[in-house]
Amino acid sequence: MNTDFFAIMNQLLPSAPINEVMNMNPKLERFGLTITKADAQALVVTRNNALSANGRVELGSSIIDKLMFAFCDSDFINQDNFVDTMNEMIELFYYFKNEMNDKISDEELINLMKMYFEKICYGSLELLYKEMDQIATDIRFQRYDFTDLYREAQKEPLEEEEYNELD
Amino acid sequence: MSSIKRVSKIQIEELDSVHFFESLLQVMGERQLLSEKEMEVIQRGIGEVLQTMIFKFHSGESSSIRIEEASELADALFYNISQYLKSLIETDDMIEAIKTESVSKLYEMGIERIKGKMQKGAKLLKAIQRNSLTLQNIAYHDVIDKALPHFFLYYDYRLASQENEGMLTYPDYPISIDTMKHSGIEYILPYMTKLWYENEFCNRFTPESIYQLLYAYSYQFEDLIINIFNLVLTNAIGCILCKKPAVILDITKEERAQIECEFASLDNTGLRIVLLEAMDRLIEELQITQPFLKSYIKANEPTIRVLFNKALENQTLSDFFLSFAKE
Repeated sequence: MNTDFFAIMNQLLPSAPINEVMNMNPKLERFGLTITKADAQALVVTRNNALSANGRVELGSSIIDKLMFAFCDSDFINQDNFVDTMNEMIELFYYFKNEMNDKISDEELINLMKMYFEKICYGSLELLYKEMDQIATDIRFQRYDFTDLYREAQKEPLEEEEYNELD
Repeated sequence: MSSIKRVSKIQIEELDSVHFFESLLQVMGERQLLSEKEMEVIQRGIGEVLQTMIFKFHSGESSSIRIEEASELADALFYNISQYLKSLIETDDMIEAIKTESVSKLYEMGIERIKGKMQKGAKLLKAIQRNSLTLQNIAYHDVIDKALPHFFLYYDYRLASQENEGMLTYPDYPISIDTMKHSGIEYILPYMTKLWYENEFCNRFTPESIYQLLYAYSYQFEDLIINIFNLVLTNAIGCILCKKPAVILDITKEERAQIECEFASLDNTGLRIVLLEAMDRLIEELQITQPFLKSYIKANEPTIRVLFNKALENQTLSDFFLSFAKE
């Protein structure tokens, strides 16, 4: 029933227009990034597949725009890896939206992903997945208030002495 | 004057009363009562209203939603539209409304219709709380004092109108005739109406005699999920068959033997006539004037007949017409 309903809903709800994604170019150009029509198409396909895989439906293309806007100033993203990273981010976003039982808003989830990507995972998508997975488990089991996560994400990961121990 | 009856394009019996709007759309499509363009307009309209509902569902904090949640929102949308369409009664008027009104307008008119029902329901709840029985039965009082008030407090007629809010599925206390086909306010309002009439009927008997009857059914009657009206009605009919006042409710062993002797040889039709006559006498004796209650009592005849027949066949009349426990 769900697969049928997914198809019906996607017919009823407005789909993500590729033009909308392309409209992000002026903003991206300020950070030395651009996307072609083929890139935009690939991102929309990734988004549609991720929605389907996670059993969700969406209105418009705002998540692609929001993710691109949030990550375009990342220290770990350049023109070469931008589209690939965005594809991964889109998949992670919908996956963790479900894993966190919709307990946090789109904006909060994007902020969390950005902070962890920048400050804790240093651009590693693999590490980001592991960190976000831990957070999702904590949120599901209500181990702590997710609003504290921002503060935690901004903390230095190790104390000064711990760095010395690593040497 | 001409008595020619207008023939509707679609008969109401052809439609699914639960998924009313969807089935009407389907039949309209099949009979080409909707053009492709009109169908497109409706689809777009459904998409637009769903979009607003999804936005409201997550208070605008999330642009995507789980498919199960979206499916429930769509159910609520169709439920509300169905409520409005059903209020039009004639299928031709429903078709006209679908063709001329926007989906969003139909949805809003459905909400107005539900609000009206909610007002009626809230008044009915107060009336039920006033005419409820004093005896102790957990399921009965839980429904009247907790589940029904909870329903009116939390029923979300915009986003989850098809749900029986406050109950896992349906109310714990069973009423005598309940198809459990519909849901939301469309289920609750008739449920409450029947419950009110059942109370009205039972209030014609003394609380003591009803207590004695339930105790005879089971000394643990307080914890049981049973319909009180049904037990009272059955024994009241038993009393009528024994030619004694129905309000006594108690049926002795000798009286049961007399019933068995008198009616065991009757076939199904014979038994039906006897029961319907007894119900008429009961209605007269208890001075029941409300047409709904009269029909409701008679609507119980088939169920009572089947059980009566079985009890006669299996010689278990003592479990059917109950005797008060001797002190």
